[in-house]
Amino acid sequence: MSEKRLLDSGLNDLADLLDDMCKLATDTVSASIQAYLEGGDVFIQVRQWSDTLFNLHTQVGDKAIELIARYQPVATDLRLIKASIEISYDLSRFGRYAYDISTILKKFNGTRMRVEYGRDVIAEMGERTMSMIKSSIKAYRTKNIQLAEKVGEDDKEIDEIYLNHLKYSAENPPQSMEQLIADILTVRHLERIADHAVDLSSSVIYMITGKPISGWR
Amino acid sequence: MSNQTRIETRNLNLRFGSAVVLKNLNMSIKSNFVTAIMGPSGCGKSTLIRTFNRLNDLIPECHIEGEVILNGMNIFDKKVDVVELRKRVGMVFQKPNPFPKSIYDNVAYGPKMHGMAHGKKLDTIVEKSLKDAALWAEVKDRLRDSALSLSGGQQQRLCIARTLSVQPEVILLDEPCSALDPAATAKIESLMVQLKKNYTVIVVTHNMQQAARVSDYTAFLYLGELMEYGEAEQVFKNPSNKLTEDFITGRFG
Amino acid sequence: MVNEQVKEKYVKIFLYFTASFSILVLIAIMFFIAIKGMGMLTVEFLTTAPYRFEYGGIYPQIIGTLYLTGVCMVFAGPIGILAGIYLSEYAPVNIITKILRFFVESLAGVPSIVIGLFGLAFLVYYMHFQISLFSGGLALGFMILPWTVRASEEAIRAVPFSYREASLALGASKWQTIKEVVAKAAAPGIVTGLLLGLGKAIGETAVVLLTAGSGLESFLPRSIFEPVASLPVYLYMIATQGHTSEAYNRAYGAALVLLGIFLVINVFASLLRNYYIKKHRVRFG
Repeated sequence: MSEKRLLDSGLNDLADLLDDMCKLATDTVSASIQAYLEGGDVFIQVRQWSDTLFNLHTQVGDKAIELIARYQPVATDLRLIKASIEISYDLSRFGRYAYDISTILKKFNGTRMRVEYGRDVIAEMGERTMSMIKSSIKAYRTKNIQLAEKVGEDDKEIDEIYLNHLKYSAENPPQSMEQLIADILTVRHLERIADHAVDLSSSVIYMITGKPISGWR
Repeated sequence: MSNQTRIETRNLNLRFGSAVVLKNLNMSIKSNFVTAIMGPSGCGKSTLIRTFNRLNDLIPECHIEGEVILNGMNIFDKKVDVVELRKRVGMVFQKPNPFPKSIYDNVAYGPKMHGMAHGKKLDTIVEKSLKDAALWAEVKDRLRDSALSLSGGQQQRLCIARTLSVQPEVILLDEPCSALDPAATAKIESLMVQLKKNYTVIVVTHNMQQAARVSDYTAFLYLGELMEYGEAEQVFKNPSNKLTEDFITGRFG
Repeated sequence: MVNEQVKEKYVKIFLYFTASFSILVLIAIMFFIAIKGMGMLTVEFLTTAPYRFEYGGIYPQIIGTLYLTGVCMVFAGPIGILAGIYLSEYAPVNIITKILRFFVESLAGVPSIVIGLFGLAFLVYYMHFQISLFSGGLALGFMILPWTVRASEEAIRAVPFSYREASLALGASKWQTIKEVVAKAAAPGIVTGLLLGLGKAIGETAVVLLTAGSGLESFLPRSIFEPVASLPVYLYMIATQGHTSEAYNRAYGAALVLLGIFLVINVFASLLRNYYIKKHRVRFG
């Protein structure tokens, strides 16, 4: 029943693009979080990776409309293509926010500023966010609905940590204004990354079942 | 748009001799919509629509059980006049088959046979039918020319006009575009969608994209059984039957 | 290799000659008759009656031939068409139909002299139709019936099934379909078939000889039950019993006229075919 169709090679190309993006996005976010916590000049590298992710996202879009125009896909194939476009956007956003995180320290005084304030929270949020990224990508690769749904659950916890920390910062600000600003911006970016991981998982569920998930955000 | 049922099949079973062609078919065709029946070759879709106008009567080895209800009456009932039935359920065939007569005479044939009109009234019917079939503009100045001088696409529209001239309720189309080029096909497709305003359109096609383009309701037939039947959008975005999924994604058939 | 090419050349030349030979025979006949008979083609010859055996013209013979052919077609035409309709549209596929067809076909093979004898015994004597236009025309009809039936049946069968389907799908009855669509579509084929049968009848000698008249009548029949002259019989009589050059000349003249009529009919049949083909792009079988 599964002889190769003309569409299949196109779908493989699409999957390859997404695979590249998945790996790149994971590395990019990981590098930027680490650099924030430990120091290290990854700014140029992260910027490059982020640009690459954006290009790949464009390529995914182009490939998708090429497949639609040429092969008139329907049902599972069509949903896969739509989901691929959305997932590639989420992956490119990972790169973008990673870039944003890596510019924060640079903007202040190079990478010499040691981050003190909010370290623990950022470390924890960073870990959870990375875990969500990896889970959502795994859910896409293995077409696993349960894993995708778990990511949605995980986001609730991140949101709580985020809001609690904002409240805390308002009541217990640090001495240095720079430290405060860096801290707020970074938790904000991490929270956004987590949101996009949820979007990615949502697209995975749509791709498999055809039913969109509502009410998560 | 009302959701009336125009034709309903109840436990329709059909066999040619010992070969079963249609199995336990139950479907309701809605009025004033385009219903497409698709499926791989030999699945029984042509046989199914030929049951609706009882053209299968011409085949002696054909045995039918079950009912086909048109407007509340079973078309196989002894009281039903087949001639009258075929006036109400018209058919357009795969290969355009206009009679070797003039364009006018082709369209006037039906009304003449039924004694529906003559003279000026007949002229009016012919003109309206040709207009409804989107052919009038192209032939109005040469109604007396032979129908066979028209192109393939025009001939098929002429056949549609001929079917419309007896004022049917239902129009059956058996793969009407298979013998036509893409431009002519596109014209016929948009015509089918237009016709649903005043008629119930049922089209059989093996071209899955065509079914996706023109139908409001889509039925998938496989080996004589109705595997899936629902709104076209649903069937093509998220079919409920795996076989349907495999067919429309081109994995077989 | 060279051998093959030479062989090809010789084969080609040989075939060319055999084809030419067939045509030559036809041309020779036509030429011969034309040369010999041309001199007789005067207005007088064509419009006066025979006089004292080998004198006079062949007017009653010409008209008589046309009369005989007319009666023949009136009989064999409609019956042929209706039989053709029956055989192709209504006849069930069973042994009775097969036997029916077999008999119709066999009739085509019966020698014309035998048909003539039958005409004499049955029509002329038993039915008391006498030697007459009626007997002759009817006997001729018997003879060409297989051709008209066959031509009609084939022409009707050649009408594509799709026309019938379309007509029935519009709610027409079977007979309406046959009358309005099938017969009309088959008409060119039927007419051509009838004309060819007519051509056969025109030149038929044996049948007419025994049933229609002596061929030497100098008057036209006043009723259908009177004897009638015909060109073939006249020709036969004059050629076998005449000894003078007058007689032979008249034989050639009659032959030329007969040939002429025959050619005219064939040409007309061809033109008719072409007309129908152009008009309705109808293809024959």
